Amino acid sequence: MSVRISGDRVTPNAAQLDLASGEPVVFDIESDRAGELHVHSKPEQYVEFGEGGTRAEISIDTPGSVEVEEHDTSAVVAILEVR
Amino acid sequence: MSSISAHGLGGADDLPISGSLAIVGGTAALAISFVVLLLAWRQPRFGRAGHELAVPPPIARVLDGSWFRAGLRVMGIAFLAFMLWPALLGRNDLANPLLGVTYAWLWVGLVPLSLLFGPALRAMSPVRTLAELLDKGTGRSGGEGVVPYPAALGYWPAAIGLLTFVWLELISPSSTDVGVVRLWFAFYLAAMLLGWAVFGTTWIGRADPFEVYSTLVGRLSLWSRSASGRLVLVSPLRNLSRLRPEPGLVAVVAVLLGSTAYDSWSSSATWIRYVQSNEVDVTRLGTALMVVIILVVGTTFAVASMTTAVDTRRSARKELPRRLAHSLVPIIVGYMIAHYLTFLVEYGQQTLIQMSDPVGSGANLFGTADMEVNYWLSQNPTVLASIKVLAIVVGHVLGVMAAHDRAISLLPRRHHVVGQLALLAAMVGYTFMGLYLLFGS
Repeated sequence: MSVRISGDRVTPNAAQLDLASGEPVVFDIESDRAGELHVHSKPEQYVEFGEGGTRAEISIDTPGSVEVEEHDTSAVVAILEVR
Repeated sequence: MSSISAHGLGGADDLPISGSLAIVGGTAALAISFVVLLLAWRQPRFGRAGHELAVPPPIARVLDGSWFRAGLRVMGIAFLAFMLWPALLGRNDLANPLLGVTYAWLWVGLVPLSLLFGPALRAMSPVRTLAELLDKGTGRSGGEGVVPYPAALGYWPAAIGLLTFVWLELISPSSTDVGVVRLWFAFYLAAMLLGWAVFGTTWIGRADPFEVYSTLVGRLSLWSRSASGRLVLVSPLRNLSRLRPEPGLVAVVAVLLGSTAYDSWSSSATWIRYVQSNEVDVTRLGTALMVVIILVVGTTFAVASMTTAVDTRRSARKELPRRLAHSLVPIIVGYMIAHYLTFLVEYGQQTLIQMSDPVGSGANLFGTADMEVNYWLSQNPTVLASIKVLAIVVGHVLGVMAAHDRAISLLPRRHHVVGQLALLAAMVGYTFMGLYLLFGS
């Protein structure tokens, strides 16, 4: 899953993705600033990124509809449906 | 780009329920139960006296006794006193238990509490305790105010209080700001005490959003009072039919039902994408949308319940909505269970963990600080989805029964069938919308 951040502009806009529980998802983040993605899973997870490119892998064990939010802008970049 | 900033509490949402079976099944269950009622239930049952089981005198004496009553009041006050600590001195972050106590324990927790024990908040509410102590202190007899509470106001103050609370929870960008929640409670306390000063203690029972909500849900419990005031056990629907129809009752149920519908909708991908791709003021747009949904719920219900021939000797047309409004209470409870069950169970546990360390000093007051949240419910999505569909369908079937029983006692005999069709259509509409929203729109 590719995420582009340039200042206050964050894409994609709430992209939907279906996942199996425990299935890894890779975030490819291109950003011009440092920041953090909040993965609102149960329990919550955080993906920190710096300026430039960041690659991070997470997996979610608890089923649910999980929003991934860029912390500074509160923009929802993805809604992961974990089954 | 506008932003959605309501992601403070509770982590992931539940998965949308899959399969259109639930929508079809739920809607069909409602229609079938209505037909069965029409054929088999021709006389009003709940309005008649009797069918009560007296609580054995020794138990009733304890439950109605001053020690038990005072014990509950002391618990309420002690809890408030404890919560002042994180509210005033705690850190302003999501670890502050004030947020979980307000949104999970109090707001959602009062539903199961009142279903089990009746008007539980009335018995424990620190605000009511304060008002009654002030009554004693100022020598007011029977809680009388300066002027009698105007009957025409009815439950309108509570409807407004509920609206401000759901706005704070669901729309305000500062819903998870401890200072803002504290401010809301300060206004709430001021409104309760000012109203008490003018109208006396009657005000609390008509204006306190939490007490009114709890007492409303408590009507679906087994606990009731006989005509002579004895503590009795009755069937929930009979208990519900004893709810006094007052002005503002339709507004209260419309706020409760409409705001829950708004909450489902506002976490949908469609809404989030729309808000994020347009230069809109999400607070204003959300406020407008929630008010519109509440108005639609209230108006469809009022219009549907008045669309019938009326026997004016029994009831005026404009009184029909409030006389039928009790039938929305089981529907509200069904929705609350469906929408907030995981929030109550899982975020409720999180709150219990936080309670051990109220101001973030690393304390472990109750030994719960090292507990881990049990996500069993979320980890079993099939069980969860079944509970949700069941809650909504059972709520609506009970609502149809309550409405039918009241309708045949109010409507002229030859309009028993036709007179109820509009209301049935409204309720089928609510079921459909409710299940549709749960599917994830």
